[in-house]
Amino acid sequence: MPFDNIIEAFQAVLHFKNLILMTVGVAAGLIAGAIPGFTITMAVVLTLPFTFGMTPVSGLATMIGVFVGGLSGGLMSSVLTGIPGTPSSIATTFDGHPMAKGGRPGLALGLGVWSSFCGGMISAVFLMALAPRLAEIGLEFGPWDYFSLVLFALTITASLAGENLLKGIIAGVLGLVVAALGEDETSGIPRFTFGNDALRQGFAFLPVLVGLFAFSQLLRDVRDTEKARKPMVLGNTAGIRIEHLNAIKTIARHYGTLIRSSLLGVFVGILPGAGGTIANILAYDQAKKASPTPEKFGTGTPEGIIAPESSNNAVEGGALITMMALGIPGDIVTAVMLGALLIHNIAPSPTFITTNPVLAYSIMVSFFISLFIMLGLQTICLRVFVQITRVPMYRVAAVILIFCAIGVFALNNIVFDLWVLLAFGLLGYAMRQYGFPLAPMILGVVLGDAAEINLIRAIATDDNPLLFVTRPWSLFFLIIAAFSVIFPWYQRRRSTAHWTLFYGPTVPVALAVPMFMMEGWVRPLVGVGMIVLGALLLWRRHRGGWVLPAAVGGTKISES
Amino acid sequence: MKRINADVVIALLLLTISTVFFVDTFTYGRAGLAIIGAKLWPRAIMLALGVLSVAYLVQSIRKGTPPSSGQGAKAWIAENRNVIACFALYGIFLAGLPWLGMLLGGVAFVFATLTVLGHRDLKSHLVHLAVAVLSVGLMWSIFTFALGVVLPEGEILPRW
Repeated sequence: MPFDNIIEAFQAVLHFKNLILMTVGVAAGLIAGAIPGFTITMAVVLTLPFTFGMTPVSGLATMIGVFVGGLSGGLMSSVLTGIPGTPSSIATTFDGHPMAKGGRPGLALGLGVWSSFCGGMISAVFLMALAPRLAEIGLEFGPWDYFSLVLFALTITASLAGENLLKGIIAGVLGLVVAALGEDETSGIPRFTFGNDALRQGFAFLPVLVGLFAFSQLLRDVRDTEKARKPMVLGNTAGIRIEHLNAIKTIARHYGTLIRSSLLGVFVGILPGAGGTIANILAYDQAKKASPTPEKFGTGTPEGIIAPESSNNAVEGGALITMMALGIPGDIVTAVMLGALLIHNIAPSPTFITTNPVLAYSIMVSFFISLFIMLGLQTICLRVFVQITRVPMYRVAAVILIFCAIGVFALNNIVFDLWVLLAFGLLGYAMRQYGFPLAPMILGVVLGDAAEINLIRAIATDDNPLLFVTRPWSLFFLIIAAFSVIFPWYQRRRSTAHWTLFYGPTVPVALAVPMFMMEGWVRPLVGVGMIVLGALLLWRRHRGGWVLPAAVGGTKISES
Repeated sequence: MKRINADVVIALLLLTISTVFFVDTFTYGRAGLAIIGAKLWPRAIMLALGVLSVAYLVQSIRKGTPPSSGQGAKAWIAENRNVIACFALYGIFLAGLPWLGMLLGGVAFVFATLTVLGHRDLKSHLVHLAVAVLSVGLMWSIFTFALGVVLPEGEILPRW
């Protein structure tokens, strides 16, 4: 019974120890989020070693605390200094900083804090309501469908992760190679080891992850000596107090912006690979378009803070929905969380909620409670967090580099992992330097085993390859995968090439095909709706004279 | 127009890797369903990597050398001096781990890294030393005493 599971989850999470861990996690996330150059992913990755000795509930609750804190921490430096603390708070600077400079830093922070809280709450409701329903659909998946789902996750991440789709897909395949290296689980045959015994066990997830993300990012942050020696955040923040009451009143006046942006955030979060960066910019853009006074955007208007902050916090609920219901990470942070589950021997899959109901609901409950902790900590400790960000980057980097080593060693107690960390640090740095996005690679590492197992299962069950296109869910995911591959070209050529006019209408029409192949009457009815939507979009193109406006911004995700 | 750029080199490297790894899959045995399973996936991903590398190579050759990419190795080293130093120090730290252990090695690594990256006056050195001792000492204590992890001890400072 879901209700019983929720109560059990509350009992598990509301343990005193877990509350302390979550508070520490939120505080760490707020600090990490406030530091420009530190990403939330890095903060969550660095938290991972501490969670080995914990129960899965405590470990995941701590990581969720870091994540929620990180999403909100970016707000502080965005508003007070105009430098986004994380990529997912870029759009917050557009109006947050002008409002702070205009003499209302307390209101700007208040709007950000409360919008983050409300966005998170809305997505928590969706998480609780949608994840179990989506998981029921996930139970229908056979190995063909799941393999196609993994393909879709990899292609959409690659297409959203950088300017060069090819590099994104190559990064994803490299992730699959890393996952395949070592002994084959079924036959025990060593693969890609070239006779090296140390490689027979394959690479542990943590050194790969820490090397690729944390190590390489830290070294990028200290590349410029002058910048590395300066305090991370400058500016006078003495005497700032959050204007809670004013902020709540203002948000209540703009509730439409809040709800629309939060829903947008949930939707973006559900898409595998898309994260807070996309949601943040999209929500800002949508709020501007919907506003009766778009000319005020960029000068310190409240809607310009409410929209990006509510959407980037709502992303996490959406990302958790996909992770828990389908075993596919909604963004790179949930990919790390999936890795944490694997460390605790819990395999992510569509049966996750059914087989681990208390843990699954504990994740939802932790997310819910972390939002309250975040609100409290930002109110009480704002100045403390800002003070910490005044430390020069090189000191933080040196300390965290050694922490990476200690944390990675703690996983398996073998020095080989430290060399793996160094190797992947080098690889991550080189990849960043030459424009290869890291997000698809991490997804490849996390999902590599699942892709292989399901492909082998599919072939072992029936060697007819046509099943990949005749099974409705598999076809559904392959169609979206195909559209996600074309998406970067669509974005680039949107205002110049004639074919781009048909991209949008074709998506729902193509997706209606597998819907008609499904049993029952509800899904075919959804298919009819999709065809109507496609026709409507075509009609709008016709009414608009077959001209599309240029794409807004160059939306791409980075490691939010 | 010069056709060789960093992307071309990377594409060729990836192509070589995919070829070598693809050939490696032919050493995985001859028969049995389990062995077919062990071969199939590596071959599929290596084939994909090979095709993508060729596409990347073609794309890179067509793109040519960007005008701003005329900097030599010296400029590249100067630009990445800190990064190279950090990687080298980390390598030395790992190589010295059997003798120094995590505690002493960690303090030495953090101090050396701070010295390389930070200001080099007496006051800064003292601050760096304090940061190194306190941060590594704290983390070592947390992992050793609170989390029960036995970190590398080293020959100089054996188990106490």
